[in-house]
Amino acid sequence: MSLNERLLTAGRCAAQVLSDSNINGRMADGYTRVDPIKLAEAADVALMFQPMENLLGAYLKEDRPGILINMDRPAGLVHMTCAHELGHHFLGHETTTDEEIESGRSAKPVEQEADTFAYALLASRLVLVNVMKRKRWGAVQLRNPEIIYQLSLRLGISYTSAIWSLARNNVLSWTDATRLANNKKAPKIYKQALLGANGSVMDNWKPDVWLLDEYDRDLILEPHSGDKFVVDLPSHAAAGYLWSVDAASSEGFIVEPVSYDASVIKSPAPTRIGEVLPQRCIISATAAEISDVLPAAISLVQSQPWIGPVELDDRYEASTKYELLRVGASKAEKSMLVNQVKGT
Amino acid sequence: MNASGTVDRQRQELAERLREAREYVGLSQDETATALGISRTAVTLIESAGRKVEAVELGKLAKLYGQDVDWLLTGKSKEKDSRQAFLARAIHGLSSSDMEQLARFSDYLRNSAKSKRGE
Repeated sequence: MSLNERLLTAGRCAAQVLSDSNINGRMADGYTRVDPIKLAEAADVALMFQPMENLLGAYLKEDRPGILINMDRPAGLVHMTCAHELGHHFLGHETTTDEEIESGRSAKPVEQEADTFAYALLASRLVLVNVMKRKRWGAVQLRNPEIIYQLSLRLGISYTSAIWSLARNNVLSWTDATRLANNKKAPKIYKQALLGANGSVMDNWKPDVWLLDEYDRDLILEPHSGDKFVVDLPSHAAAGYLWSVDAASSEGFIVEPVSYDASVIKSPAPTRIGEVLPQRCIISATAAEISDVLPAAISLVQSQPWIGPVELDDRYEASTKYELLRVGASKAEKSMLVNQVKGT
Repeated sequence: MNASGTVDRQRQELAERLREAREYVGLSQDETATALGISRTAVTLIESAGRKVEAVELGKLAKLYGQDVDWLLTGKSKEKDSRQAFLARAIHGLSSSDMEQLARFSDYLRNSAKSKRGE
């Protein structure tokens, strides 16, 4: 078989795994990304997360097949590594260690097959089109790096992988994709811009910043500990209304007081009573770790602090389901260990 | 060193290996307690060498953590071949800590496969 035929086969194999996983049901529920960790668990592959020095991951074909992942990396890379190792598994490859993935045409054929599998699994046309439809993003918007960064969060892959997936699906030309991917500082700059002066308190840029709008209302977003959400909401601030978290229905989240940086944000023109101006809300989770079992709502209400309850249409809601990446075996693997000892 | 000193040291080392093995798979003391049907305090005591570990418990702990009983007892594995096999494959450029992680996961897979088969 030629390399191209092998890559086509790898892509078809991923498409099969994807359709067997009830991806359509997941998307109908509001999820936007494919979860490679769940797919590995469903395939009965032992999954282990450990901090490692140079390795991104490894596939071990032992008495039981196993995937070892460097969890000391950004979530997007953890997912892509998991999908890549899962590719080695489904394609019947031997034990492999990966210090890098996605190294293009210079990589060994089995690595290219695993890369193709990973892209076809996590960033297929199916899930890409779903996010584009839900978020009303067309090919024109997706040339904008700030939107590509937001896309990458909803696909659960890195910013760079999102760029390549757009090229693989013919949304971006390879020339544009290469130009965008060469700007290595890109995601950090967009995160900073979204947070404004509030960003200065972040001690590192590993957490992500999600820009929410009305099209995120029906979605279930999958953030990580430390991530922040930014949403611009129409505000009657001049009349004394302020957006805040509805504590009754969204425990664990707060709206951060926005500290305006005069050098960045132009001071708004004097406001008239009754004028509607957008208020930028920056939301973060207060609990160090929010439950990863049930989706948690972020619910915002607009009110005059001294008056209290408001009409229900002055509300903004989004759903989140946190992914907790911890050292050790995956959740399913741990329950398997506990259950085989329990009651013996 | 007298005989009782040696026994104390061995018990201390066993306690440390048990804690380390639990942390490797990411189980909490509570989860270990549930699996063994003992109290969490008992697990804490076991991991600080404050309580003896019964042979039956040691077998269960080995199974729970995907470890070899011999390794838990002595810190040495009977089956050194997995480590050797990785080295023999001459995966160049891997750091020793990454090599250690691979060997460890390979041991884990082999031990947990045995338990899964009911050996």
